Amino acid sequence: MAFEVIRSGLLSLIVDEGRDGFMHKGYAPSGALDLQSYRMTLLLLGDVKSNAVEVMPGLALLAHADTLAAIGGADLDATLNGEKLETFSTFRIRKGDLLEFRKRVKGMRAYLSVKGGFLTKRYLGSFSVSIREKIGSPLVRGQKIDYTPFLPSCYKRIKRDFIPRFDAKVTILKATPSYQYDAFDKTSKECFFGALFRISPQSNRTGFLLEGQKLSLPKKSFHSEPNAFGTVQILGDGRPVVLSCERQTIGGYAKIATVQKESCYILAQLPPGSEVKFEPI
Amino acid sequence: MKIEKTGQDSLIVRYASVCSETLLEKIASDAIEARKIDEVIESVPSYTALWIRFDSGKISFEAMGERIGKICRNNAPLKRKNAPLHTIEADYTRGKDLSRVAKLTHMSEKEVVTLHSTQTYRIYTIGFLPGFAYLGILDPRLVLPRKRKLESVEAGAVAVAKDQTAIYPQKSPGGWYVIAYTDFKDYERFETGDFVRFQEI
Repeated sequence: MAFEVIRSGLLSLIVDEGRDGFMHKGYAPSGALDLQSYRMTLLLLGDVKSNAVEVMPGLALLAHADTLAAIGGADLDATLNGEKLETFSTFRIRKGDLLEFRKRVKGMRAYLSVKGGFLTKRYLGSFSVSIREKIGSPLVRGQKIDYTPFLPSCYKRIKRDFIPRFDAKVTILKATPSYQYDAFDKTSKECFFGALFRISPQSNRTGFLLEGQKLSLPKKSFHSEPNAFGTVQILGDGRPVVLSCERQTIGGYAKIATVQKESCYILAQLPPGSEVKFEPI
Repeated sequence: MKIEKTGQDSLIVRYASVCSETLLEKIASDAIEARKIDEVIESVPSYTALWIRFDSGKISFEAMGERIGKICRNNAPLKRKNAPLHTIEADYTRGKDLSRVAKLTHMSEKEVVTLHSTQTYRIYTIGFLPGFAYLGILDPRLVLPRKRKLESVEAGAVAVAKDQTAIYPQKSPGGWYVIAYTDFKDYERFETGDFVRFQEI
């Protein structure tokens, strides 16, 4: 019993909270980029340890069985048989229904789950696909994503005042200077915590590359050390990159700061070209 | 030894500024001890440091730092058995960059192969890709900076760059010089601190 992928869209994949405990073997944790929206989506279904599809525009699914579904995260103009669905709400799916995520309205990634989750393969304990590491693969046309049929009896939605927002003109990324921060020169430090950066279209689940003023690299070089979620590395050309779920587990570039998790979740919802600014905490 | 915060739920223990096999063994051993703590989610040893990710809902940075510090500062003799040796069969005739390396290091191909295959390496850390083990230390006569342009590297490629060597576990863009190929696929068994040797076939 399943969703059948009619159109795969830009990039959609199965995610969960990520793969814990394997970074020492070189596995990135992967998982949902916007964990806040992901968790709220599952909460609406009354599920905690489950999974979801991380959706980008263009995805179209045909339901082959009844269930209760929830969507959250970005507004991707989701419709059920052509009728608009509200984000952060649950709704009934009937056999034969067509669920579409037509285009980007606000945010970048939506989360779609069903009661009881999707019955997909686990790899090292996690359902999450990892694109960079070629663990599992994104959804393709014709693919079936199984779920256990369910008959809903009530529906929930999150009040609009409480849904996450990602439409600031300039998004503030709260970041703690790292233990390598003082190796950078004064100009670079002021640039980092002062300048406006723009999200590069080369950003992806590995990390968010930022364009704008370039920083100077420290004279001191550091051994490659493990990368935390939200670590900001300064690349060879002076551009900052905020590391995300599919990041390399070990990194040799200098790390200037770590972005707070909550800011990382918002970052994943900002389209290329969006302006961001780092604020020290 | 310094313990520093790397995020809301992670910290790093920096032991020293210079690598050594003795230090590596200590760090690899501490990583295993740390992993036994319930609140520890990740325990990643690398070169001169140990990185820990912990459940910040259950334990504070300060408390975690104290517990980890106790393990790291404990200089009791290592209880770990000798680390395993992995012998990797390597076909140097298929190394597409072998002649390039020979030229750049002013040696014959045979000398490059001998220097690479007679050394016993340690795994200094695993990262970049699952199973990608950074092996050191390469003979100083083979040291070359990474390629400036990334090239496509096949799975099983045995490569060198700077003072390290490694095997690419899957097809990937790479900046290291490919000097051999191997059919070895048992990357799951690699642990930081293990010994590795290449056997010319």
